[in-house]
Amino acid sequence: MALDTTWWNTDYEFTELVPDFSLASVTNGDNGNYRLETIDDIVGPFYMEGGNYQGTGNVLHGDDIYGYAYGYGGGNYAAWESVYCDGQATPYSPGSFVASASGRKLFFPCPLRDTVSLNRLFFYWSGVFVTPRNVHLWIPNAWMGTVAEVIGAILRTLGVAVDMIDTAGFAAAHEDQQKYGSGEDNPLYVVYRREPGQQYGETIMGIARHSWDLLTITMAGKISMVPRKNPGAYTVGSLENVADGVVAVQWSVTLEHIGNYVIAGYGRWRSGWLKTPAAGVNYIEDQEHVAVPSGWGSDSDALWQTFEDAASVAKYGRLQIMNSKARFYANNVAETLSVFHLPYLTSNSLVSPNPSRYEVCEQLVRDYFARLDVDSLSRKEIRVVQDMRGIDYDCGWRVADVAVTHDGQTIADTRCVSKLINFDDMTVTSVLLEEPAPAE
Amino acid sequence: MGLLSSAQRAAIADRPLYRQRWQLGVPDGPGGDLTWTVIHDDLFGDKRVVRNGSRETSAYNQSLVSPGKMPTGLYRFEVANGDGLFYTTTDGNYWYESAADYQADPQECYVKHQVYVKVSSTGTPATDWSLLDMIEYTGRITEVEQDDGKREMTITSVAAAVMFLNGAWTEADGHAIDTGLDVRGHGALT
Repeated sequence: MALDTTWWNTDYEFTELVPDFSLASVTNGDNGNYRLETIDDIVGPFYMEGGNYQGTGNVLHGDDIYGYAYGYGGGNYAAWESVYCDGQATPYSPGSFVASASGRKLFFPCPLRDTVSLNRLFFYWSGVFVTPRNVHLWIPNAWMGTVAEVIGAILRTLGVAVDMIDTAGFAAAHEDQQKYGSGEDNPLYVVYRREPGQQYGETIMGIARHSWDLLTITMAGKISMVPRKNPGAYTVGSLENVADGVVAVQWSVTLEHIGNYVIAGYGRWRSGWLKTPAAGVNYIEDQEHVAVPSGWGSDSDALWQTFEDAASVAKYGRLQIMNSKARFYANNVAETLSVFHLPYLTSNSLVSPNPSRYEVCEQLVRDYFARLDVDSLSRKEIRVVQDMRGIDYDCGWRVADVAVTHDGQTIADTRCVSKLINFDDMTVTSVLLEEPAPAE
Repeated sequence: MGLLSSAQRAAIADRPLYRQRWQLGVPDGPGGDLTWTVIHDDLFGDKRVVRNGSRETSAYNQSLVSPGKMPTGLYRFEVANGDGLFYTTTDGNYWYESAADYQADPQECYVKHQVYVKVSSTGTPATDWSLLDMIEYTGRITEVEQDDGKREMTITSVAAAVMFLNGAWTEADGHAIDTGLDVRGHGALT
């Protein structure tokens, strides 16, 4: 879906993962020993994560962080035995729950996440029913889409007016993210479920880190996202001393932006998913917001991957890219490592059930760190002071063919990463970060 | 193809004439509609701004290893305050919305800053004021700081959109959904 005017005005709401039950229907399977109730035609995606929560009596002990589904009604309850999700052949949450005499009863939260318009819930239980009971859900705010789409939808949901957003920039970034990495069949997607206590600003920065694109405030004070790979209209073709009113230049070459080694993982998982690890499989005991540990999944080590640019390591030493730590368990030994975690990365793959989706996500992680081809290289950072011709390009823009430095070099490709406009002397100071071409 | 028109570029390159204009937006109540008042226009009327200040912004996600900080669109400028009209305690002060009889705090208010350059549509001399709309800015005031010695006040603002980003998610952000479905299969929807 293009991020056009209609999207920004109204359709952004569809990025949020809220189901529509208005067209849903229920069928009842009863073999005398158990009942299998199926709710079909739930329109729109929705999302809850794994976990294991259960209420007693009339008290809900669900987790407001993760969401839950529950039946509600008077009379006696039977034990909920299993919850099936997304038409999977095996129950998502097998096992017997404690029966409740009356009141409310919680289901497991379900990992419903597909973008298909047909979703299905199965409720499977044994016992005797006295009175009807209804299905209720509590779902935390969550969004799924491209990085630009999710950030845009969150901004609008928070009440940021359309005229405070550089909608064209977000639309361009969205288009770029659709063609991300290994091709159009594998767009970059994120799913973000609100994290209590997290500031909105931290949220959009955290989501933006899942892309290569630049999140900025424009000179006019609008929130913008500029695609780094294909900036398109966000480009000026050249920068020269005289023609562009340059009055001063300083430049540097530092290690600051060089990264050449990373242990990368993705996803947010609960220990509930991993409480029954297969024999010999490493597991997380009780950690939230960390990726699945090495060794879990169809391919050992698949969800943690190491990337390295050996040539860069040889030149500059190991310069690790990291944003969090993860604790690994292997061979009865715990080890804490610095990692780069992409907690919201997901795929819009309709392939279900997993682990096929994992393979798609693994490819997305590899695509993401293809960026090492650029980020492991040395680059110039140029501070240019211009007259007001410096407002010809904004923060985040591509500035090509920069020929202003005394060494006589023309830098083919840069991105403007900061601007300072002085309204007393009417000068503009821009910092241009070189975007080196990857080695062939 | 940049943000400036060819006429604007030509004007800036050749002894440009600039005109700057500042307005304050004061609400008619808490969170209310804004009434805009010009506090300085280089061309007309009041001229309260003594230092035009500077505006800064940056990009986040600069590189994998060093992403940078959240940009804010910070703008800071200084106004003359010898008559005390930037105090909330002075009669007829700038933070008072007279139609609604509402005395706002500065942090409830907004600032709009516009810059024009004089351009020529037909050649020299320049005759028309052209708005540099790529830097036309609206910010939410976050701080005022008075220098009593100089009788001047520094007004600091951030891009209005950034103010929305200061809040935080809570446990209650979500949707309670009564599906209306009787999972026994005997409900209205079958």
